[in-house]
Amino acid sequence: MYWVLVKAGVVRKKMRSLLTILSVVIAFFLYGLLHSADPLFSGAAGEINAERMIIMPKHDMMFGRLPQSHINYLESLEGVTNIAWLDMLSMDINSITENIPIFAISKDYFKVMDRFEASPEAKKAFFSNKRGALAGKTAADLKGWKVGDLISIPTFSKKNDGSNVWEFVIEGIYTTSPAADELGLMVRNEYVEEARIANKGTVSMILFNLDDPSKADEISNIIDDNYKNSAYATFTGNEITLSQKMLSDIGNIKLIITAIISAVFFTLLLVTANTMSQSVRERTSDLAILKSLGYRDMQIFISILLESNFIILLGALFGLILTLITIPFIDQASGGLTGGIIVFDTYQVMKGILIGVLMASLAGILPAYQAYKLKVVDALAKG
Amino acid sequence: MSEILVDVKNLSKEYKRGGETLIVLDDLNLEIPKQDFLALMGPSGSGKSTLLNLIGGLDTPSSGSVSINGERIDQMNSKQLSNWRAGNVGFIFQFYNLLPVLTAQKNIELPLLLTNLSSSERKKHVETALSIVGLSDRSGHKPSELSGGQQQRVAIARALVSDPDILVCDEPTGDLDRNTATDILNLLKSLNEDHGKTILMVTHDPAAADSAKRSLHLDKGKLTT
Repeated sequence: MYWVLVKAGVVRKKMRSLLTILSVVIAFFLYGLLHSADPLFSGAAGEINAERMIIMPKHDMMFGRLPQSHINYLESLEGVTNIAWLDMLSMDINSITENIPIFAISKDYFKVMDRFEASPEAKKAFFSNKRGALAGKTAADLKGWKVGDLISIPTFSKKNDGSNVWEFVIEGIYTTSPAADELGLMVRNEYVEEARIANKGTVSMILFNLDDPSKADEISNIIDDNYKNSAYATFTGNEITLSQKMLSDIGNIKLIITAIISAVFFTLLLVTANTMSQSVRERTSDLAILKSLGYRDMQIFISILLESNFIILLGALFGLILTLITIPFIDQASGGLTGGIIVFDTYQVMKGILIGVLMASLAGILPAYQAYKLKVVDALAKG
Repeated sequence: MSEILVDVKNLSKEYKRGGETLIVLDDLNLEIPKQDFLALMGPSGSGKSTLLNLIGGLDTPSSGSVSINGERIDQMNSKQLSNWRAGNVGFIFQFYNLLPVLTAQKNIELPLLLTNLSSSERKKHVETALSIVGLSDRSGHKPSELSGGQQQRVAIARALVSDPDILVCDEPTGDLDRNTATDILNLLKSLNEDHGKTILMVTHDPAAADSAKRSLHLDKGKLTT
C-alpha cells in the first residue's frame, strides 16, 4: 500500500523529485569524500596505532633536533622496551618533486615500528651494508628502483668529502600501511651520522615501545617533564597523538570539514523540507481523497515520511556509491599514496545512511504532520 | 416498507466564525431506505454538502445522531470512521478527484489496498468494477488520457470497488456536458436498480434530480419537502 502512495507522490512532479534527489546525491558525495579522508585528520590511518611511542622536538616537530643523549635517558626508564631513532636526510628542495624522503634508521627500527615490513633477507643485506638502503614499494615503483641498484641522491646535508650527493645501494623493498609511508627510502643511521658534517649527535625523532601500553601517558609525562626547561624540550606521544599534534599545528582541519558538511546538510534539510512541504500543499486534494476512501491519518503521515525517506535515501545511496566508485580513481591519481588513508568503509556508509534517515525524518515530519491534520471536508471545499 | 439504511435524527451542525455561530443544519431528521436513490437539492449554502459529509462519515455533527445500517457513526472516533468509510461508503465527487499519476486500474484499486485481499483478488475486483462502468479497455490509461465522462466513470468504479452499501455523490454531473451527464446518471440508475446500491446525490440540476427515485429540498439547514 505504502509503495503505491510513495511512488505516486514521487512521480507526481518528476523533474522536481529528480532535482531534489540530485542535490541529495551531491551532498552525500561531498560527505563521502570528506569523511573518507577522516583517517588523515584523526591520525589513525592504516596500521598507525597507539602502541608505538615517539619523542619529537616540542617546538619544531618538522625540522627540530633532539640530542642523542635523550636516548641514553630513555634507556634508564623502567617499562621502556625497544628503542630506535630516525633522522631525516634533508633533500635538495629543488628536486623535491623528483626525490623522496630519506629516513636514516637505527638498528631496532623494525622492532619498534613493526608495521614496516621487509623480508629477513632484505633486512640482513641492509644491515650488512653501510650504504645499504631499503626502498618503500611506492618509491621503488615510482623511481623504477630494483634490488642491487646504486642510486645517487642530492640532499642539503653535506658529507665529509664536501659533496652533498649521497649514494646508496638498494638492498630490498619495504611495505607498510598506510601506503603513503611507502614513499620513502630507509638508510643506515650509523652511516649518515658518520658521513655528515652538520647535525652530528642529533636525531629527528626517537621511537620506543612499552612493556605495558597503559603506562603511555605516565611515561610520556616523565620524559616531557624532564626536558621541560631544556633547549631540547620534547613532545612525547603515540603515533596517533603525534599525527594529531602535527595536524593541529596546521589548523583544525577536521573541525573545518565538519562545519562544511554540517552546512551542506543543513541547507539540504531546508531544501528537502521545503520541497516536501510544497509537494504536500499541492496534493491537498489527493490526500483528502485518500482519507475519504478510508486511509487513516496515521497511514497518510507514514506515507509522507516514507516519501521523504525514499527521496533522501535514494539520493544518499547514489551519493555514497559515487564516493565508493571515485575513491579508487583518487587512489590511482595519487599513485597509490592515498591507500589506507582515503578510506570509506562500511561504518561510514552506515553512518551516511543513518544521517539520511535522520534528515529524511526531519525534512518530512512537518509536511507529514500537515497531511495528518488535514481535514477532508475543508480540503475538498477548497478543491 | 424497505429497511432503513440511513437514519438521521435531530441532526445539527454549527460552525463558529469569529464570535458568530453559523447554523448549517438545524435539527434535521431523515430516513433513507435501502436501495433508495435520493436527490438532495437546494440553493448554495443550504447545507446539502454538509449533510452529505455527515452521512458519509467525513464530518461529525454538533448534535443529533447519524446511524448507517444501525451503526452510530456520529459516535466514532477518527480511526473508526476511516475504517468504516473504507468498507461502507463510496464517494463520487464533481471533479472526479483521481490521482493523476496512477492509471485507471490503480486509482480504482486504492480502496482495496486497505484490505487483506491478495493482488490477484484485487485485480479481479477492479476488472469487475471497470466492466460495470464500461471502461474495461481503458484500465491502463491515466486520468489525463481520459475524457471527463470517462474519468467520472473511473471515480464511480473506485467508489464501487469495495462493494459499499451506500454511494454518496456530490454534484456528480456538475462538470460534464448534457450527454455525458445523462450517461453518468444512467449508470448511477443502473447501479441503484440492478446492483441494489443506495445512492444519495447532491445536485443543483433538476434534470439530474429527475433520475433519482425521489428528491428532497434543503433550505437554510432544514428539509423543506
